Amino acid sequence: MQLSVNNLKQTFGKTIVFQNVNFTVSPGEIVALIGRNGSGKTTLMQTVIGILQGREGTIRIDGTDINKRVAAKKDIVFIPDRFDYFNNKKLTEVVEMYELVYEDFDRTVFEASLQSLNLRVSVTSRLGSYSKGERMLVACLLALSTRAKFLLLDEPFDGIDVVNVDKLNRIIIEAAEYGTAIIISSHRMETLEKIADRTLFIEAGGGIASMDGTGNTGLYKYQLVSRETLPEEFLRRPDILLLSNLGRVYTILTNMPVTVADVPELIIQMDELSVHMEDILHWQEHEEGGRDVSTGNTN
Amino acid sequence: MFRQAIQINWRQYRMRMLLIILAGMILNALCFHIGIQNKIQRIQNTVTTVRESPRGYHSNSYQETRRDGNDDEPVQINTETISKFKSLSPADFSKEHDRISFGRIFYGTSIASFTGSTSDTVNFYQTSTLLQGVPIFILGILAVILAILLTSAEKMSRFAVFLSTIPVSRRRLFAAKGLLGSIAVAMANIVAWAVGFLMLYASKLGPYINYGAHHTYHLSVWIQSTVLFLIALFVGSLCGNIISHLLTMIPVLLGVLFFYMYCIIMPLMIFFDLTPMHNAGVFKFIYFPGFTPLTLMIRLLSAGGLIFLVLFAILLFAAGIFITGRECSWRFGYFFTHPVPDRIVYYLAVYSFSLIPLLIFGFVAGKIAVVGIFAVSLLINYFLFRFLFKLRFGA
Repeated sequence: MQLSVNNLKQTFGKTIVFQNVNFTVSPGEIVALIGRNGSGKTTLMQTVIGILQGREGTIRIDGTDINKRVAAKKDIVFIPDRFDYFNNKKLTEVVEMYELVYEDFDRTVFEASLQSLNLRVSVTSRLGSYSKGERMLVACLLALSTRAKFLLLDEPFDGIDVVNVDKLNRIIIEAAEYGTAIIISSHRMETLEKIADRTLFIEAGGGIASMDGTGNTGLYKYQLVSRETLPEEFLRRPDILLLSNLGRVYTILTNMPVTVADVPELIIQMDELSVHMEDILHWQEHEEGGRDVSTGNTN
Repeated sequence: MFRQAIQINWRQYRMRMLLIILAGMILNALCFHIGIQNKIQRIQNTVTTVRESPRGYHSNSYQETRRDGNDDEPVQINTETISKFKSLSPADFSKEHDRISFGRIFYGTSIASFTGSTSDTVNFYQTSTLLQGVPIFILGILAVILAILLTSAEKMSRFAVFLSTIPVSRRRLFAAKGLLGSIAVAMANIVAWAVGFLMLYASKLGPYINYGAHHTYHLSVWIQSTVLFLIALFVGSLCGNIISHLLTMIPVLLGVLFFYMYCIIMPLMIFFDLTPMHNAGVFKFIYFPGFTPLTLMIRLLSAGGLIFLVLFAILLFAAGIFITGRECSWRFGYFFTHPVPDRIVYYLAVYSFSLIPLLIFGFVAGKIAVVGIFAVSLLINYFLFRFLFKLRFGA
């Protein structure tokens, strides 16, 4: 079973939020969705789940277009950044609602998970009285108890303390081990990097680029230590996308591999670094609409 | 899946529906109570008039309330009883007032015949000076409020977002919502009818009432409130997910009420003359519950083109189902999904608000000033609403 998004486009009025978005997600994958503020991460998730309808493109689960056959949505659950749908309802009532909506909802699994997390929440209290972290954890447990194959989490780590973040990570990893595919959007790069198998980068108005767990973005990062200031002609090489320096220590981001032979003799030390999510975001910011991230490794 | 949609709606909205039914019952009972007391007072006044008038039964009240046009028809009055009645001292009169007022033996005929219109239930709603005309609209207004609670208010709680993510189609959910809401409106009417019936039956007027008029009245109110519910639900279906504040629904409410009061329903209510039903000679319980509802329905629907209004409302409901299945606009800065109805209801709201100062000051100031006050009111309300819309949506 696969979730496949093909040529998805979304607009608000005349503004293009994203276009030509293509990606697939397979069971058991944990996919990080990152992008700058306003790049359309939440809108993409809302379009995939059907809160918004895409202007173009299809969203299919196992070949079934979920916009044409809404019953297919039983295999995909969305958890927003604010899980406040049921603030005025007791947890028991919310569970009843989930049982009503999702035929495969397993109350036993939910209760067992709730107990294993040692959450100090009262099932007879209204969800509005829970902390944000507790609400998010409960939402995740509810979603996983539906036995849906795909889970969309929008900014789940926002405003949550480290203990609850750890609990959330545990839930996500265990769910993935059981075969649930999870797409998470977040600005917490360090958290995402720990758990994500793959990363999708989204750029405002543009497309989406993918990086696998080994950091294969088609981008390379090096740290160079030079005896003296590097010459301008080297620094202006077209393959250098981003450059920063602290004294004579330079960090460069390139779109092709650099060897010792390619660098000036002034360089006394050269190390290849792993490309982090932050690097991509910094590069996107630097480009400011110049180079399209989708020219990287687009699926 | 439709059953699932019904269950979801019921679980989510049952309290709102029950609240509307309860509010309908209380408000209707209150107005009914006032109407009954008013009627009793009128009868007592009539008795007093008879007591003090040498002509006895030819009171003003009698003349006003006879609607069958047979003002010259002789009414059997037991003059001997009236003489006895007149001879009572004020203290005795007060003491035996109820018995005198409502007993058949004193008049040789029923009080209903004596006062001419006791059986006309509509009078119970219309004769209160404080609430004159208002009770007619109560169930309709509640139906509109219910429609708003079922559409816009769910967006306030973001429950609508949840509904967009679940494996149940929006169209089914909307259709189920309309069906459940219509049942709730019907229940509110049935409860109001039953409570009114019991209050009448238990009152001093009970034995003299023609209940057919009561049933007719409630049937017409039910049809109207259902029509209103469907219209308001359609308006609600036009609202995108952007609605997240109750204040933004005020224009919708006012627009629908304006539509209700000024354009269609009020003239229809005036058009309905229920007295012929009474004068047809069909008495009391014969109207109900057998064959009569169907014939009454046909009669009501055939009056004043009401059938077209009902069909129009059903058409709007179907359109609402269709629209709900399509995308709800979000973050567009528009009040509605579609700019055209947005504008229409917006201006209706402005116009409705403008009528308030017009009514208060216009008639006091004189005819020429009315035009000016109305124009100024329009301008003020136009900018006020524009400000509110900008404040909320940044449009």
